[in-house]
Amino acid sequence: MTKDEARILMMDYIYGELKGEAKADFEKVLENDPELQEDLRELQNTRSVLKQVPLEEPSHRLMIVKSEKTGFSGWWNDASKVLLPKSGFARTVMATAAVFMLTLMMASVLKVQITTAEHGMAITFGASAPVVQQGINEETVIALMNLIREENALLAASLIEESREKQEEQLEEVMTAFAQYFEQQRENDLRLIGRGLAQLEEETWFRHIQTSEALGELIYAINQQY
Amino acid sequence: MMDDNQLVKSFRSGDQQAFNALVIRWQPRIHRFAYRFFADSDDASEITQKTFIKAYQNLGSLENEAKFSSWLYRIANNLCLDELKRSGRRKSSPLEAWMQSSEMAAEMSPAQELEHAELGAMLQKALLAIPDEQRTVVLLKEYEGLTFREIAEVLEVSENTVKSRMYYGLKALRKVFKKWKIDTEVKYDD
Repeated sequence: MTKDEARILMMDYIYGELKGEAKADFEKVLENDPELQEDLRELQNTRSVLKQVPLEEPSHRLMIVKSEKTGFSGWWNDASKVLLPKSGFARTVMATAAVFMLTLMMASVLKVQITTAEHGMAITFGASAPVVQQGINEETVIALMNLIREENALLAASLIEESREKQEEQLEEVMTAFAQYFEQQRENDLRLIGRGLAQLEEETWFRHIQTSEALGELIYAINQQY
Repeated sequence: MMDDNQLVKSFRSGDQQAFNALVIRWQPRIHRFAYRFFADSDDASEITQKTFIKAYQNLGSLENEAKFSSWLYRIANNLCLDELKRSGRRKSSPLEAWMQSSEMAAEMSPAQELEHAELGAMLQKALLAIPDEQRTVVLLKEYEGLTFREIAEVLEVSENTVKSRMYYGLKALRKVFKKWKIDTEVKYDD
């Protein structure tokens, strides 16, 4: 057995790839060759040291990422996430407030008037409730009605103003969400373009390498021929 | 759980998630291989990413699904070698390795290095000191646990060539360890 053959068998032996008769034959050779034994011991020592190289784990996981295509529904979902409160209770309060405001607005448009008298309450649309004369003269009734009308007008005006402010706020939030949506779309497009450029660069590089290798082989072949 | 063959077939049938499963399974191994090749996390991440991009693009051309692992390691190894060429890094030679080791020995004694719990880093440097083709074989055998036949498939050389590179790779490492007295210190620690 030559030294080269012994070295090759030693590799199989060290890594447990030498089996049966071949293994027994090698062990016999090993038994009678102190130099080979020393070689084997040193290589096994080297292996034991190599085992102490620490493990390195990747910092993040790679995944295939499909391009995100978001339409109106996606935008609406994003906008509703921004505009609507998350908890059920807050949503209920908001819905109640909206219904109340709607009622007031309708009342304002339809000129609803609420009047009270000793025998009960009266609600009228567009005209005053008939006043029953019972101990109160006409001037007093007119004065009371005027007072109530003024208070109603003030109340309606303040509610309309409040409603307008809320609408402006909501519009502003919707516009912000809209702008974020367009910004996200733009970033997605840029990311896709960047990815495409990187791929193109890589492919160009590999083609360059392949061309260089082909040219090298060609030159080598020509040199060999002449 | 599906094996690599089934995942490759599923991917070829249009199941993108099958490739994700292959990535999840193989990313740590390819990253580990590339890290030990360069001793650099950024390089390892870049090589790993490129390996899977290339695999994604060319998986359709893989003739035998059973050879997926060898094929993937071959891509990673070729990319490592390309990166060495592209970045103009020096290929280590025995002479350079000895020069590097001498410089290290002058700067800091091995005992001090060990005191600072940097044995792992020193071993990584030792791996960088041996020739690239020997390092590849040592990494695939010692850390990735491939058989000599599988390594021969990865590198597209004969098994005897692989074993010869392994032998000389271990011998070269042994010399570096002796020079840096790593072996002695390890024995002392044990």
